[in-house]
Amino acid sequence: MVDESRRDFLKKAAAGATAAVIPFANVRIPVIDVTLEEFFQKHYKEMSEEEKQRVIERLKKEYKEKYGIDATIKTTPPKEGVVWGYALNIQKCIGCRRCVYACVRENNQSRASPTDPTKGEIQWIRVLEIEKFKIHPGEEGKDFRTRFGEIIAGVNLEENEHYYNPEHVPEEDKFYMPIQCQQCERPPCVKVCPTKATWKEPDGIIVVDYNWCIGCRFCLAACPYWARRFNWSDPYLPKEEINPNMHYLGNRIRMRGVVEKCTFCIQRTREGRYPACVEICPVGARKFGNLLDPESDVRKVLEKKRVFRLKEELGTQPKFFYFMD
Amino acid sequence: MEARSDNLILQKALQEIERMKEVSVAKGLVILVILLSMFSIAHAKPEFAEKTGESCTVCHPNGPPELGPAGEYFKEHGTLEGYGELPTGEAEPGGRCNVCHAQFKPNPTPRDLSAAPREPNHRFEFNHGGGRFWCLTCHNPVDRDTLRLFNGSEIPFEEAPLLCSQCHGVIYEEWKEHIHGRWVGSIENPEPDVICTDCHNPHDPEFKPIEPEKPPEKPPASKEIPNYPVYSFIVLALSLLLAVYAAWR
Amino acid sequence: MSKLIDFVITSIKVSLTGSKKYYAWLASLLIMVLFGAFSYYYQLKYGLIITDIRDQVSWGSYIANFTFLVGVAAAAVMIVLPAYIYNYKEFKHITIFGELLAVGALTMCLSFVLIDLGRIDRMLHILPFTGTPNWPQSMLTWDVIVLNGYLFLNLLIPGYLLYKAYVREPPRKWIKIFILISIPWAISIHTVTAFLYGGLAARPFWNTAVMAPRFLASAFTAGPALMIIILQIVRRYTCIGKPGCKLVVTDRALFTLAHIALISMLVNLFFLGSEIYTVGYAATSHLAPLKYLFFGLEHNGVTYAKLQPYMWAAITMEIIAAILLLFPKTRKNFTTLNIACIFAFLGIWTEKGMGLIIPGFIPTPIGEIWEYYPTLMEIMITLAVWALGFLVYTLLLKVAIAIEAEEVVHPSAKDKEMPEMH
Repeated sequence: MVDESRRDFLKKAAAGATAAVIPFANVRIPVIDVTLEEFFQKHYKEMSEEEKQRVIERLKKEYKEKYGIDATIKTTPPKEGVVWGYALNIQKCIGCRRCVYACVRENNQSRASPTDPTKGEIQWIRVLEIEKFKIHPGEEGKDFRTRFGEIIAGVNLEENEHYYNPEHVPEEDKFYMPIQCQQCERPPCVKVCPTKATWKEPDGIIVVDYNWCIGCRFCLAACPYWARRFNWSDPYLPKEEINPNMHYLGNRIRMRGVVEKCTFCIQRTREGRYPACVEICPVGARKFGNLLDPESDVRKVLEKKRVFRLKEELGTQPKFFYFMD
Repeated sequence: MEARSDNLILQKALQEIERMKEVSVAKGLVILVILLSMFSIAHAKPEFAEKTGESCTVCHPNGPPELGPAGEYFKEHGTLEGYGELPTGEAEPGGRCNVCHAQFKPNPTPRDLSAAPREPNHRFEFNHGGGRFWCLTCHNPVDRDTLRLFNGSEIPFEEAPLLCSQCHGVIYEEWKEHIHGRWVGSIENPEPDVICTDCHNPHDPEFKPIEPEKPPEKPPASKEIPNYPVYSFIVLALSLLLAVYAAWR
Repeated sequence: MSKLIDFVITSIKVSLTGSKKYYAWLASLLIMVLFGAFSYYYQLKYGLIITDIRDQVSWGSYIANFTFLVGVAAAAVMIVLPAYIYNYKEFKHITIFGELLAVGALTMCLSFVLIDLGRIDRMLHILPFTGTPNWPQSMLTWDVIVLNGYLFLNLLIPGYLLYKAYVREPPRKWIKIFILISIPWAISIHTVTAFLYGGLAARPFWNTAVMAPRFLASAFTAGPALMIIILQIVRRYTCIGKPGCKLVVTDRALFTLAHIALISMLVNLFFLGSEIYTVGYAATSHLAPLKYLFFGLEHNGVTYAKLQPYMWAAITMEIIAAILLLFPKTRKNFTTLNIACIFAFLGIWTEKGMGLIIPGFIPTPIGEIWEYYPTLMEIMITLAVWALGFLVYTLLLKVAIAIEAEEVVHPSAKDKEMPEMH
């Protein structure tokens, strides 16, 4: 109990410190290029509504100054009784990568700069091209220790191609599997984050508070699906490419030194719209919905199709299901 | 339109010939000229008229319609050879098919129409059913502005899913439950503003391979500071020299 | 209190005065440190893009060196334990060198972790009250606690003992408690660092129970190996061996350290062999990182094997070191002993630093092979941090040697005898 009061006191003192700093809030610390107000910003989950609004006003001003756009930055909370789930049909996926680029357009990732080769395009979705099967029978007459036959078929996360670029997809002998954040129910990334900068929201989406992340990249090491990306330099984002419809925990413009990843288009899904990747898939391979609603698309998939998850044995309990017809 | 005037000219010419049985040479020459001139523009006659002997008024009772791009091309070249892809004969709302088909008796013999000598409308690849289907499997022979179900009932083109579901029942059920095909809009009320035929060409339903988007880039290059290697070399050399001096006996 | 202030001021003066060669050594380290700071300014300005670390291999030289140096810091316990638990006299004289080495190594560890952060300006977010530490779930928060705690212990214990020596008073009993605490604490720092890697199910190369034992075994080899070299340098540059010198570093102490290094090296090699067998016998997909290290991985006709020569060199060096340490003839001969120590140190630096962190990321969990090789700036910053650690160690050691050799004393205690320190 003594601890409680002390913690309260210190929190008040910290809040007091923040309030005291407000007059100098716009002073910019050189080199790391943050304002004092941003420096003293609290963790998102500890901010009151007014503090959140103040932060949003500051961000909107920043984007207006830097990019000349009028952004809306929402803080829409999760809906009751909703846990989002995703289903992807790898029988239908043709590996066209329209989802990858729809995601980039929607979520304000850093783009590749035409003049600066140190700025690359961040893509949250990675499509794997996997050979349908490969058969090399063993040599006849040889004893088993000298020559194994090789028959490889199935979802192969060890040997696949990320940089495929044929004339047309799908190719005859390949199938395709896009991977993005699996929004695990037991996320290893949340467990290892030393500052609680990433956490699971009540509607199941794993989010990152970009202003709290210290950039230690422990979560990049802990993710079994290679779903997280890091801003190695200042993002390059031409003004025309910005999507002004943002959510604080989702697609607002990030800064260098922080982690980002798929958030199931939190700016869309919390307003009841489909994620960008679901809408753009030309063959309808992607399905999205509320896992708690028995009538939702994704529940129907779970009922009617045989689904599997990646790396089930790791116990991460992803909410991203793959299925085949 | 030349075709019609050709016909009329022919008719008139024949009438003339009938009337002028005892015709003078001059008149005969006129007739000859007229006949020759007919040959010179004979290649501009549509195959429809050639093969069937029917007149243009069969489909165009109200006079010549405006030329679309295919028509313009035809007017210029006299043939549709080299025009390129012809429209694949999707039904227009309001049903335009009956304008022609109401005039003919349906021919129930299953046959290949990909080289159809009739309208360019019907000249396309038909790849549905692996040889077991043909046009009148789905299209209603007595009313071409509707489709025909197995039990003989007629449905409009907008209700095509009912027809597709006869064979693709599982997919139809899945489509109704939103787990087949693309659904856009809101998650609560996704918009089904597409039906089967909006995505799948009923005459050649298999999706053709498309060009993929660019592959991801390799990770970006490291930021380099100008002259850094030189500075590093100097610092390392200095440091090493000092350390060696410190260690020297 | 005034004595304490006097102690601090005198220590600073002592650490900054010495022979020309001493200044040359300090300068040598200082210019590396300053150049590192200059380079780090660019890292702050442009971000970690100045390194070769990318999403595929997201930890590089900084974390690799951090991992290795935590082991070196922990190795102080290998001197403290025999000295205080077994009352091994030879080690009683050299515990201070081990404890101060821990300070130097911890300086390097903490620096490496801080410069590896993408947003160092937010480092307060990991501490309680100013931030929201994810304790006890995140191993990094445990690491913050144990590393800083060990730093505190290793500043307190030698600091207190040196202060008491400076004023010629016997140390109070309570310091023994801290010394005893520092023994399991040293084990804990390296165990927690090993758990950082061992707990990640996403990285099968690291997700093994043998990670913590391996870390400890290799720490207790590299640490004593470094200690043997350092003690010989100390012997050379101080009054040791000359008559009337109060510092004592006996040959026997060095040979015992060598013995400790030998046992640890053999255990380390055994753990390595066990690891290779477990992964290699069934040859599951988990073999890929190990195969990358020793033989390279092939994809689309290209073979990726940048670390291959270093790894084989490291294993060879470790085996040679083990053999040289094994036989008393070579262990007790200073030339071969030094070769063995250098080989052991370099071998373990490779096998536990770059050779452990980098292959954990190759191939990525979804099968991409992307190789990492540090950029020049990364290397210079790494060397700068090493220089910083040695600079700190040198300065501290200068003070410790001066006080223990009874070359400096508080004016009021000039005529007193040096009490029993241990």
